[in-house]
Amino acid sequence: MTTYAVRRILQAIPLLLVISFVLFAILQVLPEKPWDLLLRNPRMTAADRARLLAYYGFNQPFLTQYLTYMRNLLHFDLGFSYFSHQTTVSLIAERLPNTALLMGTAYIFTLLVAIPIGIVAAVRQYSKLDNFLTTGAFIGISLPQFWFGLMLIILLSVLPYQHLGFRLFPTDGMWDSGHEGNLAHLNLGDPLNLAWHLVLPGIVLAVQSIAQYSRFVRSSMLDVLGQDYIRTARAKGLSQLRVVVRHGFRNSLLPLITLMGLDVPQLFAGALITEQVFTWPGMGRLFWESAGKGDYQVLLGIMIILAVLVVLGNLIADLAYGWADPRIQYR
Amino acid sequence: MINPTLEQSELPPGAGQLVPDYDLTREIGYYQLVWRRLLRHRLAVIAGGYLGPLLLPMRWDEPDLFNRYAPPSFPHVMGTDDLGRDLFKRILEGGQVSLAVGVLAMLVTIVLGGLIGALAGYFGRLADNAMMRFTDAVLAIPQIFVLILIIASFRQAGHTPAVIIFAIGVTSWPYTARIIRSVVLSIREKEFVEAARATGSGNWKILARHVLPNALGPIMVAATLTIGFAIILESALSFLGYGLGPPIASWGGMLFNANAFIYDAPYAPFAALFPGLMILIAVLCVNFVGDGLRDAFDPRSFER
Repeated sequence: MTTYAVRRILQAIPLLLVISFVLFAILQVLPEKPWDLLLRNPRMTAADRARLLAYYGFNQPFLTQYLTYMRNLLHFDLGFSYFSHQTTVSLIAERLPNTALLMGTAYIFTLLVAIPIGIVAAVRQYSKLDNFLTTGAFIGISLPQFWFGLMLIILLSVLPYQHLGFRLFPTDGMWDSGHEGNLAHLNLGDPLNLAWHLVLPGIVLAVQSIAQYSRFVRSSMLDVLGQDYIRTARAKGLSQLRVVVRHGFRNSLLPLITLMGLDVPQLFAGALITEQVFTWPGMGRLFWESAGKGDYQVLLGIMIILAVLVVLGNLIADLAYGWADPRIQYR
Repeated sequence: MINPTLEQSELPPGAGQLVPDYDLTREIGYYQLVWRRLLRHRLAVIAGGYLGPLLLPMRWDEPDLFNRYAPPSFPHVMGTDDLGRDLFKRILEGGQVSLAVGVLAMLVTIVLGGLIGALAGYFGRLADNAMMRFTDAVLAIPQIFVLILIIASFRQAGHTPAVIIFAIGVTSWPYTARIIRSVVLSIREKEFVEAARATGSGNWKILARHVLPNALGPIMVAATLTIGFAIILESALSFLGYGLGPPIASWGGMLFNANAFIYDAPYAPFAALFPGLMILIAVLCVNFVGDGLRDAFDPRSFER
């Protein structure tokens, strides 16, 4: 187990190197260059421009630039925003907790809804209920998240506001004014107000995962229910509930760990869109704002952090799976 | 129908009833068989029928500022938007745009993903390892982030359809490459490939003449599903302001528009309702066609 863990960690490092190299190369190939934002001042002379480029090291060969970037990365230095003159790390640190809170909520919603749905669908396989849930899952997978968010806003916020004069759920930001906190400084502000703001974005981010996970739980549960030990449990005279909950349920949830690990990139993508719909000040929104300004240091920094988190998520899921299921033998 | 050249008495009793729908004397090709199975998948055909009419040419984009945010009524069956343009017309136009972007982006994806997947799967070893690690690297970064990065950097050129299609195509290939690689991996071990090699065919000839034609089924299924993904991606990009800009009507762009004036007028919600509904239905249809194709190409997957 330990050797496996060490080997997986060692494998993750070259993967991250490849990712960072690909990202760095993409930035060089794209039509707008990372330094274009620096040169926007029309009164700059050619000499000024050359001096500025030399100051930031953009006149050096590609590989030298990459190696410098990687050396800085080892010191947790991701450069700084040419637009706001803050370091990229501080910008991301300000936003990452907000995204993490949103994604954590979505994970909880997903598990709370998808697991019961999957189990019920499996236990009542091919019943009307199962068909209904299957259709629902199919729609959920094809559902455009931003549109679903808009519909929730209209139904629970706009229409009540127009006809009753109040909104059931807030649709922008994390706190109402006067209740603000700051997650990066471990200040929750008014937790109830925060939770109230979290409901709609959490649901929107969770919907696609709910559809996928419930299908997954269903098929995994069907697998388990066909096993010999389930027949043994039934033969012992256990009730249906006990068979399903104690023997089936726990074993069928194991593969879910892997799915949760693999789901991280998709959840980050969903978070970007959800944050945009609900003006949630997370990392995705920071990325979107920076893309609009052409602030490439921040863009690159966010993508590198994302890659690290995604690889880390897969790693943790793999190791957790081995820990949770002793039948798995790692070599 | 039973074989007309045989006398009724020569047939065993009940022979006609066993397989009443098939003409046993006429040989049908593989693709004809696939087509028949696809037609039997009724949802797929209904879905195809829905997508078809969207391709008809339509006029669009006639602003009428005295008639903004009109509710659904007779001349404007879906109402009008913030500039008084007919929503239904724009939805049809946007449908053509979305489908065109989806199909073209799919072509880019299939060519790139097919090439990389087939080469990795067929040549194996080092090529496979290198290409799959590269694919892993690309997959580790959420696609929408790379898309925004690419499209944002085309600020000078503008968000033209070509840029959007290119961007979606060059970021979607890893999924296709993985599918095609796994298919090619299994076909590579088949006897007919060995036979072709024994008769002296080179690698490229085997790949083009024997391996790829046999992988056509999964490739077509992957291609169909890619169209669905591309439609959702395009609309998400438009919604984020990185898709096709005005005056081109696209479903995502219409939602972007609707989002801005959602609190403004009592009938504004219709402008947000219909385009998204169309995205959902179109993607569902494309996915149904994909499912139908999968079943048609591989009847064993029909296990239910």
